[in-house]
Amino acid sequence: MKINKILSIFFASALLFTASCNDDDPIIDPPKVDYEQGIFLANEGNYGVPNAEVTFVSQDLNSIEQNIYKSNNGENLGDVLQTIDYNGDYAYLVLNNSNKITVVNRYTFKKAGEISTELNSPRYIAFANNFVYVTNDLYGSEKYVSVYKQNDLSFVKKITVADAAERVVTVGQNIFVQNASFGFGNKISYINTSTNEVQSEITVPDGQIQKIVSDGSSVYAIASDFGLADSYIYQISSTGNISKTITVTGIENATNLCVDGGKFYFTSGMKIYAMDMKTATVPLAPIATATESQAYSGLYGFSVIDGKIFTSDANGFTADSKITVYDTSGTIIKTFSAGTGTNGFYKN
Amino acid sequence: MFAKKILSAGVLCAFLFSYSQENESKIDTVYVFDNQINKAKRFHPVTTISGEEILKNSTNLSDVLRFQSPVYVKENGRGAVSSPSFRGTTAQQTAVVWNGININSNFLGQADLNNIGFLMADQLDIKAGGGSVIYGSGAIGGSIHLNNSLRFHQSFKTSLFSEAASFGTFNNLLKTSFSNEKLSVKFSGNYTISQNDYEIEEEKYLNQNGKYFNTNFNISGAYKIAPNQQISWISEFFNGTQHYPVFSEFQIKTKYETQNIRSLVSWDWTKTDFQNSLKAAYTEENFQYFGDIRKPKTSGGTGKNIILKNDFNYFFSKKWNANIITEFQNNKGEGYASGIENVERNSFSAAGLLRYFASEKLKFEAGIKKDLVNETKSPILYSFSGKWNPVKWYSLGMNVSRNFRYGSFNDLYWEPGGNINLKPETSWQGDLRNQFKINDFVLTLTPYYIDSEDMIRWLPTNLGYWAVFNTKNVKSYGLETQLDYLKKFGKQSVKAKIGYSYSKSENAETKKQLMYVPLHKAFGKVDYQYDFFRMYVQGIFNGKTYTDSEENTNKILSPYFVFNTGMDFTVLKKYTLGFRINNIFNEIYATTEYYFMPKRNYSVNMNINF
Repeated sequence: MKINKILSIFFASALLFTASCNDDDPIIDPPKVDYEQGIFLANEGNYGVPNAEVTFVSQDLNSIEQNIYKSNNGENLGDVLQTIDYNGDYAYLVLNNSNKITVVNRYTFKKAGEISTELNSPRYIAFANNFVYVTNDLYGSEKYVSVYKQNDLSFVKKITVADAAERVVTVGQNIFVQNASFGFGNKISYINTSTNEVQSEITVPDGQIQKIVSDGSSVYAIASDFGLADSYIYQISSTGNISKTITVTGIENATNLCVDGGKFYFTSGMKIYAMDMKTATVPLAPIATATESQAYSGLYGFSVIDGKIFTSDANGFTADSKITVYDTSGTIIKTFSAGTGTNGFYKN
Repeated sequence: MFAKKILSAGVLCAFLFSYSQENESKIDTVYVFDNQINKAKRFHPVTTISGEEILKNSTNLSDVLRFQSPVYVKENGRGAVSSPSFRGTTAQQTAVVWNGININSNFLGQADLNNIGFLMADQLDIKAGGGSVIYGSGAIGGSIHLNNSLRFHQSFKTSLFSEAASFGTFNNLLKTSFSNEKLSVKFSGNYTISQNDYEIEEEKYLNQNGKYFNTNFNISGAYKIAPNQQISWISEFFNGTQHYPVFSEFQIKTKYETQNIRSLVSWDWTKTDFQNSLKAAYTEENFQYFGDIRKPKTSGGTGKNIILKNDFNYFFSKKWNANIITEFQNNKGEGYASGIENVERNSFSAAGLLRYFASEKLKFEAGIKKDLVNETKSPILYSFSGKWNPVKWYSLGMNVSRNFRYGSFNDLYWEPGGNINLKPETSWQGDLRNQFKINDFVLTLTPYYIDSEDMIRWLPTNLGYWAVFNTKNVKSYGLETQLDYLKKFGKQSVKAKIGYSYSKSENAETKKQLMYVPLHKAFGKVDYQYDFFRMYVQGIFNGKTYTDSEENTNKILSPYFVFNTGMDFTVLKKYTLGFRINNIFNEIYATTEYYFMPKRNYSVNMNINF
């Protein structure tokens, strides 16, 4: 008798708790948006758990859809989405700690393929001459570029590089690999895609390379270093020669280089600068200064797309990232939330 | 090697002691290595879990605490990294104490519950509330005590526990002891292995690379060298391997290995008006992380601690009692391919406690402590407790204390990101325990409040590494309730317990609930015994738990109920056969987001007593 009573008290109180806790929001089906006209946001997620995701925002910034990988494929995307890049009708999602690259149709976001061989902590991806080039850089392990065929994603070869294997960009039919990561390193490897061998190494004279980008027929590398009062932007030709050095006098620790509408955009601390590519006149003042929710979370992601400056505040990686979009004059035109640790913005 | 040395030293000591003078000793049959734990029980809420109760959740210490205490356990899947938390605080604010010695890692400042030889413990004591005056840095939310004891006058005793369970899990535990009126020796050994390859089809979750195995030994002995004096010694060795679960079949598989040594020698001198306990201890932690299981270790570390502690307890009169505890510690840390090189820290602390027993019904305790830790400024700590039994059916207890946690080696010295100028975290807390005894029921209601300042936190930086900061202030308050029932009639007995805790823990800046602090947690059990037959049901409820710092309702652990049941019966007095079903109702649940726990699983076990 008594046991029955106790058990029923236990279950009754248990029921009370569930009832009081059931205040979840009702699930509303998100409106279907057309991924053709807009921007994908890479939310890298937390290291060690498969919470990487992709947010889509329409070109006019009015329509936002979260978690588009899971909603279109019914499974988790993976662990640490490092970057997204496009080739033909496909978007390649590089999942660093899942050690795989998931290929989706860029218009429907349905999974279309996967690269999983010869990867070792993949970082970035580029395409040239019917090949796919992926940088691999596991702490304490060899650094290399793994090469795959674009048509069937089959493995071709490994190209070992010096120091680090970080960003990789294409200029013409040539591949350039940034051999610098986390603010250390001053080399770039130039890979000839007809032989898939390192043709030459380019060493920048001043600063540590923070980021390389490609635009037209050139590679641009931004370099800076602790204790250096100036930063540098190097223009490198498609055959691997430094053709121009721009000294960004008086701006230290410049990073996050982007090119849009004939201008360089870069950041220093929380300051966002723009600089004309032709005149290369060093800006006197930033166009905007980002705010950050907590120390070191600001400007975790930074891209400039069609005259809009997209920035993310990683919010300590413990909550949704805060996205702020500025126009080129530095006026905030939109703020919204995305997933965990938004690290990049990619125009579709 | 080290084990052999200790063993030979032990044998030699035992041999020497046998020559010392013989005298009639008092009948004092149980010796507990931590001489403060029983004193703490006079004033503080302590939940005790006996060795027998521990075996009901023999899988790991995480399960024991989850199902039998108010502690919230965050586990990266069954058997993987696991951290405890109390009263809305964090794992680093929870001290894990082995026979009176704080064993939180020097490097991480917290303990991994699944890398502790908990089956070696004779009893677990879960003490809620601050205890830095006695148990040092980190005892803020509460402390988890693994206690060993030795008995006298028991002659030979041996027991063997053997278990086979789901997911390729095997667990063997041997305990053997001998004691007479003067000497007591005990040996325990345990080996556990699990393939741990469970699957949750509904969530497309397969616990890949989840294997774990570990070996433990524990040797202890005590000898009464003189009528009121005893020398006691205990050593424990733990060697464990955990593979870390991966979510993708292509992910690079990692593992973690750890080897710990803990040794303690105590000289206790007990008279009617005073007790003195002089202790010397050596603890060592070694760990290696393999970033790729196919390759050599990628990083690791060794921490070594020497502890000298004296505890002097003096009764001025029947009413007044003073207790002075002095302690010296030398901590060394050495990293391998990590951000730590060779670091060393010396600390000295002195604590004084004054107890006043006004009457049978009213008693008080006041404590003060000062730590001198090189390079760190640490605050003066206080504690004040009182207990009053005005009537038979009601008692009131209150505790107020100031507690702290100083930075771990990683917090202070990690390159880059560590900060040698880091301040210790400090907190004030109070609780008020109301206990009602009505017939066979005991109801306990304990509201508490904790105000923590300068919490030590690692934050990511845009320089590509994480750095440590003294950041937010956190206010936690809540209510712990427990209802106990015990009834014996003839050959039958019924024991039941229900505990419920409400924990509100807010970041003072954002006013949001901390991540991984469930507002509601309840646990309960019913044990029934009829002579040789025993049966039990245990269950927990864990309320909605945010996994995000902004109370995002899309990032939560959904509420869950998990029930286990088991039965065993004893035949021919020596043999006990048991059967257990965990998660009877196939609840799908996770204690860390994405890391699901197993659905229904089984265990058969046998216990032989010689």
